[in-house]
Amino acid sequence: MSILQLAQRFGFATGTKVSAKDSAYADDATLADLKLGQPAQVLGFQNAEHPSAQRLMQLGMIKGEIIELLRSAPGGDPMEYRVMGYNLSLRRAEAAEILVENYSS
Amino acid sequence: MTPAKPSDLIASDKDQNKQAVIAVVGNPNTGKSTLFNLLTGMRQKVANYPGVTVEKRLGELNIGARSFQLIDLPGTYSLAAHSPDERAAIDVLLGRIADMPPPDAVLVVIDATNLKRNLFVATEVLELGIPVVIALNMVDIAESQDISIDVAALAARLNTVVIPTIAAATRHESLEPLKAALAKAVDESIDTPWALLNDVKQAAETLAAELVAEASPESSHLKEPVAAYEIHRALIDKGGEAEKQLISIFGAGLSQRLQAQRDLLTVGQTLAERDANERYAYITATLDGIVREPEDNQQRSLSERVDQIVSHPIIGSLLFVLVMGTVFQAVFSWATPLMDLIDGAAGWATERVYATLPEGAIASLLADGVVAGVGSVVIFLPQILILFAFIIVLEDSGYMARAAFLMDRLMRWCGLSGHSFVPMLSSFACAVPAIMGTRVIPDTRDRIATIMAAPFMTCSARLPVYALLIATFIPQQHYFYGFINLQGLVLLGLYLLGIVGGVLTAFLLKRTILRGSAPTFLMELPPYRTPNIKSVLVRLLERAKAFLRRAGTVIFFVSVVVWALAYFPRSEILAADFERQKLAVESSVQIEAEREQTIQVLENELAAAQMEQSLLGRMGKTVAPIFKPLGWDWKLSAAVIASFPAREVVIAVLGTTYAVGSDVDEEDEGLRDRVRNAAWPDGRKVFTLGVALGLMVFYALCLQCAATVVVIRRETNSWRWPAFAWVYMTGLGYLGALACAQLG
Repeated sequence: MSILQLAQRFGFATGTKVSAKDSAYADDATLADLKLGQPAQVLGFQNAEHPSAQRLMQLGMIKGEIIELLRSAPGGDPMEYRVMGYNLSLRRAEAAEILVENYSS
Repeated sequence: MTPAKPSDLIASDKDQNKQAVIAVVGNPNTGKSTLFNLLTGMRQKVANYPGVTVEKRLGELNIGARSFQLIDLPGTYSLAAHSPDERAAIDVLLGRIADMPPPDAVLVVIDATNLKRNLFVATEVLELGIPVVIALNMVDIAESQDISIDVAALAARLNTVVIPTIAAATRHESLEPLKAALAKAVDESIDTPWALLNDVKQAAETLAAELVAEASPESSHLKEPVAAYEIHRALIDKGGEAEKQLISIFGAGLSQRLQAQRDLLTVGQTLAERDANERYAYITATLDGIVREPEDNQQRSLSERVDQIVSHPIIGSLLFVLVMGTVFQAVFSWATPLMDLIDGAAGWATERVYATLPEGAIASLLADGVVAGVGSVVIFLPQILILFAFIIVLEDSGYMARAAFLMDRLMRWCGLSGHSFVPMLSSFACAVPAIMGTRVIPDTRDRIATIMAAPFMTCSARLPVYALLIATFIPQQHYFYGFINLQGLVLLGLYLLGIVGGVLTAFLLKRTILRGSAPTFLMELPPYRTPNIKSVLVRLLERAKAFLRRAGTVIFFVSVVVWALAYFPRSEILAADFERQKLAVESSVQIEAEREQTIQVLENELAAAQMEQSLLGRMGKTVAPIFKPLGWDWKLSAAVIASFPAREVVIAVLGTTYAVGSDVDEEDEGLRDRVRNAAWPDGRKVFTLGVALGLMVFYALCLQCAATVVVIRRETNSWRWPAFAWVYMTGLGYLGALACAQLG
């Protein structure tokens, strides 16, 4: 584990840019897989009938929105994201409902 | 059937004599409540909506000669309702709350620094056909962030009135344009309400017409325009409150009809998805070209930099401990002088009563009933207010959301969320502000579980009881070269017992009667903001008033009842006996100090004898068999009964029954000696280690606080929960004491 990784592990050095190769998210990636400093684009929901889906969409989790991981709480859960110009906290379980794809600025 | 417009019902019956109603709607964290407080000042009323735990805040706004009623609706991101609590907003807007006319206008408060998300609910309100005024709040903050908004263009595109307001509006005249717009809006009416998804609206209207035609007139009390909007909502919010409401009126068959319509209206996506996508597309188009913001927002990065530290997993957690430590220090140390002052005032009042009135029932009622009763409420007011002030400032500054974020993981294993942490912690000072503070918890089940767990925490009223019992029965023993003290260990144990009791209660409730759908933790972390002093004061006063009115009246009443039970009936024989002995002492004892001391002893013995044959004493003897398995005698039983309204009363009652006078405190050596030596008629000691520990456990687990009971009633809007809490906690206390009594 490098010093940078170690620093990130303990919450320091947030927002560090990572090389383009690392930033590629897998096809089935969700919001829970987001890495610091690597924004992604919302694709949709694993299950659009999920009880939280409507509320999440109203909060800005709609297709095409750019979303960024800001930090996670002690223990790695919940997570804080930036979406639609504000900060939103989600538990990992809810974040895993939202599918994302790579975003290239 | 003529096609109905929502405006037929909603904006009808414009009566100039009637007080016009304005509903205030907006996202959380937009400064909506601050604006409401600034508009209405102290002219506020707080109540609950029927059947739900949501607070109904009403206020009066005077514009010129006219008076308007303002209703502050709970902060919401959308009118979609998926729980009975979320229904409150839409019920008010549709005029479905009993005794409350539909609003004549709606004030929608939006945050100028986050227009896109804030406009979501605004566009939903615009579809209702009620005149709307939009307050573009926090324009000052937007300006400082170099965000510029073309207000006129925004108003034109939304076809409504938009008034810029500032978050820190302290000068009243800055609200004048908003007031003028509201005064104008209430007299307007909208003939053709705008609709984003016109096909959904038409489908809803057709279905509403069909349903109203099918239903017999007397079976349907739902008017068609309201039904049309309910169906509109039910189509979009699948499985939500609107659908449940409609099924209860039109029958379960409606579900299929709704689903058939949904299938016609969308392909390949849910209607909720279509609604959200099209609404945000509309908002994006509306804002295009009229909002300019810098690429890198300086202000936001300032709040962001603060968060690098405050929300940091390690530094943030340490900071949180520091913040909460400061709050507790303040609650206990700042409140002490004020509490001493109140205590002194009560003592002075008691003295004055006895000095001016002849001895008898009236003087005793005033001194021991009224003054003591009022005192027992007011004495906790300093602590409660300081705690409230901190909670309100933490909420308004945005820190509360960070605390919830940091603590979510910890709270989750007892089935709650991070929102419950600060209320739970506050109840270590007093359960009353803690329970009132549970309003920050969005999920109703979590909120009730927290309310049920909070009274277990060791509050400041338990401390004097613990202090007396520990100092009396737990020997001063030290272990590990004096580092560990047995008395301290017992106190720690009692604290832990409260924590374990509360956590287990929440855990069990969340797995049984309060079990619900998957827990969520969707929480906005708002930017840090300086709280508005005036708004903080208004809220503080409102909560103080609520506490004094609700809890104060009940505690006062209960105190007088307990006083009467302990006072009546008076035995004339005992009193005459006392007078004889007093005379004998006065004539025989020469030294004045000794004489006075002997008379004091006689007085205390009279009080104890009167207590024994009073109603309370008799009740103690009647219920003594119930407490017999716990090893309690009638004196202890009477003291425990008397301390149900307020647990700290036990010290004064024990003082009277053990004949050391009622003006004792927990430090009193005389009381400690008497209690330690109390014996059964056969000479066995009452207080064995098991009984003493059992009594402490009983006081740790029992809900002996009328204020808490009343506040639970107020916050849950039913007697069901306070009754459950009382029975459950008393039962636990009894079992705990029973277990301890087995120690011998």
